[in-house]
Amino acid sequence: MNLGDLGFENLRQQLRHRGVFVRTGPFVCHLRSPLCDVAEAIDFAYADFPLVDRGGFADFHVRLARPPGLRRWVRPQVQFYLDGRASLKPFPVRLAVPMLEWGLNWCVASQAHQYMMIHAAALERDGHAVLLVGRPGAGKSTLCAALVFNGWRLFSDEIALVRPDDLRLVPLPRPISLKNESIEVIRRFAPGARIPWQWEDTTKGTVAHLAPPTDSVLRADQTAPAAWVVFLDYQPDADTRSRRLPRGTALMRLARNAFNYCLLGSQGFETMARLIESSACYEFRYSDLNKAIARFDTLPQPDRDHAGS
Amino acid sequence: MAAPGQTTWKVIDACEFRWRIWDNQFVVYNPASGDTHLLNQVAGEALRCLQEAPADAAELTRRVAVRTDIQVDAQLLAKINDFLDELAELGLIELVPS
Repeated sequence: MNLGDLGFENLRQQLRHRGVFVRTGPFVCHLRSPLCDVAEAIDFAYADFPLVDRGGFADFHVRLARPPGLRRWVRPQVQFYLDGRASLKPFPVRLAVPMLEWGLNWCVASQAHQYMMIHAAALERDGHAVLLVGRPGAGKSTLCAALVFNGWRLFSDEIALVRPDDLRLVPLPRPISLKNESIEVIRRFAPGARIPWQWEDTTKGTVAHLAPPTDSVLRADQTAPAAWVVFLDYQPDADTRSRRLPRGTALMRLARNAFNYCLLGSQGFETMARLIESSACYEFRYSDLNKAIARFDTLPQPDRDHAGS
Repeated sequence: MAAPGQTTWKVIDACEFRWRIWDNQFVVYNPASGDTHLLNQVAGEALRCLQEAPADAAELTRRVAVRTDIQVDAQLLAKINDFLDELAELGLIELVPS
């Protein structure tokens, strides 16, 4: 049974009381919230996600609710609770939905150390995965969304999960978070894109969520080896340009973008080094989405000996 | 071996470095500090030589020259001296107590 099968009123009631247990990639999230806009957003973005019943077990027990006290009424706030504890600084209540997504990212990034976690978008096509790495504003989520509309399967928009033992990327499809200009860019690029709401004046500017494609959600158990690591650099009006990066340079850059590289110690280094050895690494500058996608269509197929299994 | 009176360097005892060498880029991970360093060929070979045996700058320059096919001259010696200072700052090597 998927979350969308509940129907909105039933979902809203469950979120208010016992909560829903949703599988997102390898994790089970127990979500609770009395807030109507949170229920609407979950109904919209998580409709295809499977509900699971494991006797109350979940990796993350999450609740979004107004905190007690005066701030419940004066300039009302929302608090993110993990396992019953207030875990992030409260947000204005109008930003409850962005807070849910950021909070879920934080849950994964702070706890899922069985994986090497890289701050990157990840997508798959024909059995091979690409990592899109970049600073905020480098065009990571924008290109990720555009590729999703062009035959690539979404693994993650924000956190790439790498299994250290076999180097396979593990899907964690959730809503793609678009920011500022990229919201309109994607609306124009893909008029069918489902982006019903946007939130202004967040710490990241204006934010909107694009629901993950159904196929990506349904195939969330299908892992893939990384074949390409691409360091993005969006520059307005820039020509599309890519160049191969030396492996040492790529490793240093990728390590800086890993959430838990240091924490994993020698295992982190070995995982990172093997990931780099099995991938072709590029620096990629772009401004035009169509040209960027065309370039991704011609990424050289990986050497089978290096592609992992 | 270092000549008497020379300053001799060695890798820090606890270091069990992990290496990757790709196209003259040397990446070394130091488990003792958790730091990863990207070294060029000369610095990388110098550190690997010191892992094998302590040496002073002159001896190290000779060893690096053999490995890299670079001629021993004052320029290479100066580079090695600079790298020794940098590697010491990174906590990878230290002076042998006299």
